[in-house]
Amino acid sequence: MFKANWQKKGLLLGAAIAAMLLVAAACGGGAEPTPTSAPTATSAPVATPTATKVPPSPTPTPKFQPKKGGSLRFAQTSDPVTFDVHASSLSLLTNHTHLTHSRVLRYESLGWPEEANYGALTVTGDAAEKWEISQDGKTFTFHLRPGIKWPNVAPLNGRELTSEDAKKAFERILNEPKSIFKEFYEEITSMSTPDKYTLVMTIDKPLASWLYRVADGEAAWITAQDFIDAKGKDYGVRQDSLVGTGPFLIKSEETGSRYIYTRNPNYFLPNLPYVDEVVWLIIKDASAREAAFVSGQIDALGASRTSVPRIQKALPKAALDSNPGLSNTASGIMFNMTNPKWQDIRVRQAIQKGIDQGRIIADLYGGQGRYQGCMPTALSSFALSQDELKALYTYDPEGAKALLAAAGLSSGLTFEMTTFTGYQQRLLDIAELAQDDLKKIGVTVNLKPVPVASGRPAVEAGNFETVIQPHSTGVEPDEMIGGFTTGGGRNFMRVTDPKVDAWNLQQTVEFDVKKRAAITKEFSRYCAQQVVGLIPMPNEASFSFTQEWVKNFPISDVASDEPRELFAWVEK
Amino acid sequence: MTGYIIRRVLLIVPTAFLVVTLAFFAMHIVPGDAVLASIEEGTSLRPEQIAQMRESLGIDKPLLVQYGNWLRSALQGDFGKSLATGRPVTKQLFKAIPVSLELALLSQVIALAVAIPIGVISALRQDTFWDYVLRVFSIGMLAAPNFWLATLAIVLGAYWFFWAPPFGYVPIWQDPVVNMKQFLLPAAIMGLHGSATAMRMTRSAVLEVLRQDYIRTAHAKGLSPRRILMVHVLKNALIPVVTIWGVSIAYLLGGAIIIESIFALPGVGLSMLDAINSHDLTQLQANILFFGAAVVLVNLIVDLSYSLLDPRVRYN
Repeated sequence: MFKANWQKKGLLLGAAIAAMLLVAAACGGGAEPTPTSAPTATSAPVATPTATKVPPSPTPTPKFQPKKGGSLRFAQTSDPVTFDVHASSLSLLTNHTHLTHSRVLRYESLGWPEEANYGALTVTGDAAEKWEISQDGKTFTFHLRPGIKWPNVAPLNGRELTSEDAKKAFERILNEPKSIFKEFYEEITSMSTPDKYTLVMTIDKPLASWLYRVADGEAAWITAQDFIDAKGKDYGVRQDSLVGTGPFLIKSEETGSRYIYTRNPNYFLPNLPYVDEVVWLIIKDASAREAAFVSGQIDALGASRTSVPRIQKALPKAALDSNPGLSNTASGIMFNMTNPKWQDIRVRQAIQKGIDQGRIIADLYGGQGRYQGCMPTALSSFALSQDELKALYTYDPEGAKALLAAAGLSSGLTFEMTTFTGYQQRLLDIAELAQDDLKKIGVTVNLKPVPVASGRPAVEAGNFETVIQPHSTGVEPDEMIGGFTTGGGRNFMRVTDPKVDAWNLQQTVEFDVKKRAAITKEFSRYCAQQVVGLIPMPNEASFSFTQEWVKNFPISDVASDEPRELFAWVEK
Repeated sequence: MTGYIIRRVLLIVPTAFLVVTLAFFAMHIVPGDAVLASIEEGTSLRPEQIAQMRESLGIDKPLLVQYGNWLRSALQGDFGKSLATGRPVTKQLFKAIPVSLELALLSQVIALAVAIPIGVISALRQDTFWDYVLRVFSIGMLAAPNFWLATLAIVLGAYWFFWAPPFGYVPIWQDPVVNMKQFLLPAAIMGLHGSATAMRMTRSAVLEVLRQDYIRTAHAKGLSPRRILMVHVLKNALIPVVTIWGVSIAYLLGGAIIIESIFALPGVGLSMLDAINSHDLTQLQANILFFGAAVVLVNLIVDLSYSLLDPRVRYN
C-alpha cells in the first residue's frame, strides 16, 4: 500500500490519527510498548475501534479581521500536463485542483488562523459535515452538507452535489484507466448511498489510516461523472475540465502563460474565500521566478538556501518559512536484495558505515539539513529522533573495512549504482560524495547515469545493482513501511523480511498512536541496523517566502495539501 | 521569376518530408516513450494500465505503421493530438508561432539597428580608436552568453530597481504596451548578441566595397561622401549581411529556447523543449515541420531580396 507520489510534502500526521482516536476508543493507553521480538504476520489488531459519531470540527473565530478582495498570484514551472484530477499527483495540477474541487474530508491546521500551524494536521469535514464509524472499524458513513452547488456548467447547471457524486468519484478512482490512485483505495469493498446526502463506505479491514486517505489532498477529489461523460475524450485536456465544488471557479486559461480563477460565490463555507481571484503564472526559470517575487509580481516563492539572504535584504518584510530538512520522502541508496552481492548483511552494513552523511549535510547542504530514516522524519510521531538517526548512520570507515574483511572482501568490492539524469540533481551530488567516501574503504562505485524515463522501468523490473532515488512519500506510516514489504508496490529493493511484513500488518490496524509509533520506530531501527534494502540519505533544508501583504498563507511544503488560498487574504 | 518562386516553394515539400522523417526515426532511438515519460514520480502503474495507455495513443504499433499513420493524417492536414496533453498540436503550434516570430523580428531589427551603423563606422574609421572600441564591443556581445546576459538583466533589474518585465505573455493586439515591456528586454539581449556577427560582416563588406573601382569613380565624379556611402557602398555591402540576417531569423523561428524560458515567453522553443522532454512525438513533428518550412521560406525571401539590392541578380 502506498501513495503514488514522491513530492515532498512534509506533513506530520499525529493529529490525523488523533482524529481517529476521537472516533475510535482505542484500548488503554498504557506505557509505550517496545517490541522486543518480531511480531508474527498473523498478529491481530492491538485495538479495535468502536462506533462513534464525530461532530464537525468547530470553525474557530479568527482574532484577525480578514480583508476581502484582491488577488493572489503564484508561479509554477509549467502547465499541468493533464487536468484530469485523478490522473496526476503533481503540484502542477494540485495547485489548481485545490482551488476548484472539494473532498469528502480534508485536513485542517490546528490553531488556524492565528497560528497557521500546518505542522499538525487533523482531519475535518469538507463536503461532509459529519461522519460515523462502525464498531468493527470497517464501515464509514459520511453525511454531506446539503445545498452544495456545482457550477453553472452544462450538464450540471448548478445542481446540488449528492452522495451519488461522491460515490462515483471514488468508483472513478478505482476504475478509470488513467487513475493513478487505484491502490490507495483498493480496500473499499462496497459503497452505497441510502439518501442523497449519505455515503456509506465499507473497507475490508479496519485501517488506522483510512480517514486520512478519504481526506487525501491529491487523490480524493469529488468529480461529477455526468460532466466527465459529457466532456468525453476532452475531459482532462484543458482547464475547463476543472469543474468542482471548490472555493474558486475557472475564469480563463492561457496555455504557457497563466491560469486565472475567480471566487466561487456559492461556495459552501460562508464568507470564504476572502480573495476575489487567484492567478497561476507559468515561469519556468528559477531566476525569473525570484525576479518576479522581488519585483512584486508574485506573492509566494520557494527559495534556495543561497538566495534567502539576498531576498531578505531586498524585502525585509517578506515572511520567511523554513523547514530545517524534515521530509516525508525517504530518498537514498537502494540495494537490489536479489543480487548475491547483497546477501551478506556485513557488506550492506559496511557500505552504510562507509558513507559520511555528516559531510553531505555539512558540505552539500551548507550545514542545513537533517538525517533521514526509513520512517521519514516529517512523520514526527512515528519517526526516530535526529540524535538516534545520527547514531544509527554514523560514519565509521574503520568499522566498514573490518566488516568487509570479515565478509571476505578485504581486497575490495566493485558495484554499479544507477542514477537518473535530468532529475533531482541533489541525488547525483550525493551519489558522487558516496562514491568518493566508499573509495576510501576499498569499494569502487561505478555510477551509471540513465535517463529517468527509461531508467525507472528498468529499476522497477529489478535490472540494477544499486540505485539512488526517492523511495516513498507518505503522510501515513502505511505508505512507508509498505515499500519494504514482500510484494509491496514500491519495494524496488525486493526485500522479503517476515519481520517487516509483520510490523506492517500490525501498524495498519493499530489505532493507538503510541503503540503504532512504537512499531514504526522499531521498524526504523531495524531498517537501519539490518540495512533493509535502503540507506536513507539526509534531506536539505527548504525555504519559502510570502509577500508582506499576504496574510494567513503558509507556503511551506507542510501545507501543500491544504486549501491555503481558501483562508488567505491580502492587505495591500 | 514566378517559376523560380514556385520551384522554391515546392522545394518545401521534400525538405520538410525529409526533416520530419529523420526526426521521427531519430526520436525512436531515444529510450522510452510518451507513456513512460508521462508516468509521474512515485507512480507505479500496472503493466496492463501502461499497455492500455500505449494502445490509446497508438504507440503500441510497429514503427513503420505509426509513421504511415502519422503521414497519412498529415497529408490530410491533420497533425494529430499531443501525446502528452491530448490537445491538437497545430493549435498549440499556432499559439506559439506569434511569440517566436515577434521575438525573432524584434531582436533582428535591434541587431541590424546596432550592427549596420557600428559596422559602417568601424569600416570608415578602420584601425582607429573607435574601430577598436566598436570591435571590442561586438566581440564582447558575441562572447557573452545569452542566458548569462538575460539572467543578469532580469535579476539585477529586480534587485536594483524592483522591476522585472511583466510575466505572463500578453499578445501585442491585446495590450501593445505590456507586450513591448515583455519583449524589449529579451529582444535587446538577443539583438545585441546577434548584432556582433552582422556588425563584423558589415565592416568587412564595407571595407571590401570601399576598395572597388566604382567607388573611386564615384569620388572622382564629385559625389558627396554621404551619397557614395548610402547608394554605392551600403547597397552592395548589404548582400552578405542580409544573408546572415535571414539565416538568423529562420533559426530564431525555431525558438530561442533559453530566452523564451527565462522571460516566460511561450514560443516555439519552449514548446519544442517540452515536447522533447515528454516524448511528445506528434507535437515535435508539427514543430519540426514548421521549422523546416520556415527555413526554406525565409531563405527564399532572402534570395529574392538580392535582386532588390543588386539589379544584376536575375532569377530564371
